[in-house]
Amino acid sequence: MYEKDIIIAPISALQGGSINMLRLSGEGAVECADAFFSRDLINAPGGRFYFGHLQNKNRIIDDVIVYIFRAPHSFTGEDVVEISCHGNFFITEEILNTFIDAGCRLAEPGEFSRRAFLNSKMDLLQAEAVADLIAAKNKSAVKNSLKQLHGGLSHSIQSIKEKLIHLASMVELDIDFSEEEIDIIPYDEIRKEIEVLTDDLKRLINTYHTGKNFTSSSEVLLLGKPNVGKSSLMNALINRERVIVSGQPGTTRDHIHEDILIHDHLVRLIDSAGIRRKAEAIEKAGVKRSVQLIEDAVLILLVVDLSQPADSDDSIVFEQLKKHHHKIRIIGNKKDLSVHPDMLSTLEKYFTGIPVIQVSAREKENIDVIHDTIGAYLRTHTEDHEHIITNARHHRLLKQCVTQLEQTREAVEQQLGPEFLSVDFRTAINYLAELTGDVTTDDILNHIFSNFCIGK
Amino acid sequence: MNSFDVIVIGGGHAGIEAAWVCARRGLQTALISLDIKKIGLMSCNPAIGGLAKGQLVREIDALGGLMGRIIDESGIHFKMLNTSKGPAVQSPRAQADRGYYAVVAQKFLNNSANLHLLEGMVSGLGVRNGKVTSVLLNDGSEIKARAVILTAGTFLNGIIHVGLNHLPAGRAGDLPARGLSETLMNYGFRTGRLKTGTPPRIHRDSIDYSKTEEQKPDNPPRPFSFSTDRINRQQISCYITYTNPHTHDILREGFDESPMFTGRIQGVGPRYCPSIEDKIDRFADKSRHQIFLEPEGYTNPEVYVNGFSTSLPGPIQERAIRTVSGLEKCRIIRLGYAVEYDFFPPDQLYATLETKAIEHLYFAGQVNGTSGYEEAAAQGFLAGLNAALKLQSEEPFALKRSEAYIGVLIDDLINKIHEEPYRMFTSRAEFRLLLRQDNADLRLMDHGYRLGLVDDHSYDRLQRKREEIKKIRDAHLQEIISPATFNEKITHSAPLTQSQPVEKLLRRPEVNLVDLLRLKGAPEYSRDAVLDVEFSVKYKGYLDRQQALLEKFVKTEGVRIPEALDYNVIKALSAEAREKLNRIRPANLGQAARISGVSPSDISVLMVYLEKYRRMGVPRETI
Repeated sequence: MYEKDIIIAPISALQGGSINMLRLSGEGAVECADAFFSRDLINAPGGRFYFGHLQNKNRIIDDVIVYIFRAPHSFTGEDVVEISCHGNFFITEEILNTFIDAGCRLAEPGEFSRRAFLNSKMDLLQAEAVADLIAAKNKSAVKNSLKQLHGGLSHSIQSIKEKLIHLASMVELDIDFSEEEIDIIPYDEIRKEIEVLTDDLKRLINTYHTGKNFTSSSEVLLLGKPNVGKSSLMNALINRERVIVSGQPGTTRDHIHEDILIHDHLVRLIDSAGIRRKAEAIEKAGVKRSVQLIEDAVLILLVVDLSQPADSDDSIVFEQLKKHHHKIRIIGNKKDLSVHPDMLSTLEKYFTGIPVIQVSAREKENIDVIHDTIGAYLRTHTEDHEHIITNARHHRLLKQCVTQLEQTREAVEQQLGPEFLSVDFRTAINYLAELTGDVTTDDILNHIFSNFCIGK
Repeated sequence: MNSFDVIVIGGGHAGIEAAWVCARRGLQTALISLDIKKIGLMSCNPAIGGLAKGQLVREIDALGGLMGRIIDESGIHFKMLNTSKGPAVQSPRAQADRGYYAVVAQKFLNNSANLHLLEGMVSGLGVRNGKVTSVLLNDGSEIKARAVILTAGTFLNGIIHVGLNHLPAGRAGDLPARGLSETLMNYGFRTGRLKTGTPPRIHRDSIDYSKTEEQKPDNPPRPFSFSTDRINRQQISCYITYTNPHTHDILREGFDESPMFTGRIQGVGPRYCPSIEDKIDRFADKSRHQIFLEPEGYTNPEVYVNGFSTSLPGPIQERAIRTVSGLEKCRIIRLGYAVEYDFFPPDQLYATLETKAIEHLYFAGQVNGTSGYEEAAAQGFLAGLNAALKLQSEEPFALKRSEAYIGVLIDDLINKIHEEPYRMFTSRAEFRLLLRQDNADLRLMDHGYRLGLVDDHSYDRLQRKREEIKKIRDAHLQEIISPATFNEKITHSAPLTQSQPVEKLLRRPEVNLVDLLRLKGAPEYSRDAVLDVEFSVKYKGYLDRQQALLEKFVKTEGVRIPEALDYNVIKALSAEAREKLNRIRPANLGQAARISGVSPSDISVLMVYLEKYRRMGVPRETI
């Protein structure tokens, strides 16, 4: 009724299972899947499944089972293809990207249900439920996207976007304010700027491939006052001597992280700088960052020294974590030394009902219990197929932005007028804006008004 | 007469178009103004058109409005702007003889059948059952009307500021319209406050032109109106000069007495039209600012000092302006001033510019928070036309963003929150490449003709243009040009090695269609027809992209939303979206999507509900 393009998204919850599922829906979905499948699907009857492999440019991605549903006999009422692949994060992502590159669109949150309703596959009574689902899914998708965009990546994209807005403003200035006495940016400079931005974007895209920047991991934060053994604990968890372990408080000045696999979850384990009242000047930046890390973490492991009574440094940490009650697990370290009852009672006062996992990092005692705790928590608290979606989306949009900028560069070289460059820049900006929020004409005009003396 | 079909309140650029179009539609129309002799008076700078604004005038003209015809008869300095750039961003502009512009405007109105010019001050409106029924004058009389169009400009609770002195007023020397705002507020209309300013006017004989730069008009002048053949009137020059650090020092001395900096002015002024004090305050590192000296007519000795808008005290204005090169001995005829006025945030209007609160009442022009003669005229035309169509039980008239700058203007007005006076820029039009000033007739004149507003003469001319365009496309685009011919005549492009069709050669940026047609010995075609074909071939890639965007756009525009939809029952909408949608009440899904604060998720939810209501058989009302 409203749109007929092919949409795709993972539909299974992907944590720890051995099979992942993706769904394509829309006119031409079967033909689209056929292009990458080892067997003929075009003439294949619906309501059946087919075993074969998916391949892209002669490279096999995975052995899969493909189910075909012909319209209107499907969930959405359209042609639908469901693909079951092996339950591996990267395979799922590659399949998704393959289809997106072929012109499919990532489904909006709740879009399968919306289409099902619009195609009369659901009755009127379900309308409200569908609407609620759309709203809820969007909320979580936005949260997810924002989370991934936090920190370095968001900063890079934001800065590229701002430079693009500046360039767009410069060409608009040349059109709408050409009567004003303002220096117009030479085309040669525009070309150079575009080249720099294209390089920046390509670098971001490459980090996506190596998985270093675009992490799909869940952040688990180790937190506690200095010298309770966070670093030793982290080492024990990753089984490697990576973090500098020292008895001097405050050695771990900035946070250090490691990506590890716990129960099929990609986990980014973060050792924060200690939070203390009298932080030395050099530590302040690190402490401020800790506050952000607390906000962003999926799970916080509060580490305490069981052998000591809780002191004022502990209280500062506890106080700060009180409002994050829902995502805290407590690790009592140094159980091999002794267990001080005051520490346990203080913890019970602050974090009523959260059990204390007693471990010894030095003796590697009960480390597996921490592993299990993290795994169990993530199993119930993350939706990693959302992660894959946001990732694929980010990747796609950055690539489209690069392609557009390359075209813009050609237009600049051909000396096309500013009215055409404007179309190019706006298209490029819109790709990034999908990641970071809308950019409107008013934003471009605002940039002009605040940076140039305009108006007679 | 004490009864009319339509009464237009206000004789500015909006009022003129509104009254004109209603009368042309055959309705008995009255235009009420405080002073009939001031109808069509240019209260700010004596110019029509400019970037983006020129497109608006051409569109109004193509639809059958007046503005282009008035300026063609009264212009003294015509100039096409942005001629170094492509046709999509060129705009006509003309200085007018200020006094004569008003005379021509009044001549058109006086000669129009069904149109009556009345003098009087409107103090209120008669409203019954939610419909406007009459206009009340402050002498106690009442004139009945089936529709009323309010185009009161800056007169609503106007206050003029010069230094720390202020007086209630409309334009300089006129009375403010006070009671009317209050009446409307009683009916629940929200108001906001805006500010605008003007520069001093100086005597032309007191300027030393040898110290300024002359800016010559185009020769020959190109008319605004599609019905004008040529302009024969004598054309005169404008002059450019600059402020300097000394000017800025003197102006700074007056900052303590600036009504703006001291907080006396509450209204928000336009950032694209700042006062000179604002410019030197915000851009302190700029050592000079450009000043345009614009003559106000052949006989009128006033010169408009464009770029020197100010509300500083008189003595400061005088000292400062005399530091400007060429103005050392200038005599100020009228001081610059700022005016604050009420406006009605236009989200209280439908796309027809009819108010949501009172039926058959329309607002147009500066009362809606816009600035500029052209923006006002466009609204006046549209409000007048829709008022007439509604009385005549015909379909309302609306233009899409993709069809006209007028469409962009109206859509922006009713869907956005406005914090400063709204002015048109070409950058506001996402389909800028399609909305050229030279194709306004191709885009819009069919509407004007169908509605009986465009005469046969102009329409015949359009048909000839269309035939020419077709002829050029059919007869010449595929013609083959040999290397010998090309290389001999066209030396500024890379030599040709093999024969190529005209269409392909046109893709070279430096090659134009006129030259190629000449090579083939083609007959003379009109400039606009050639330009239209050339543009569509040369920039096909970009035009296709705009077309693709357009198709996406049209799809959501086509999904109507029932006017009575209660957004409060749709709990899945975000709170912000619910509030905005309830207030603005978009007519279709596309409009809803453009409202700030309405997310794609909200649109998705709306789709579900629209389908639900469709299946439940709730009729989709049309607006």
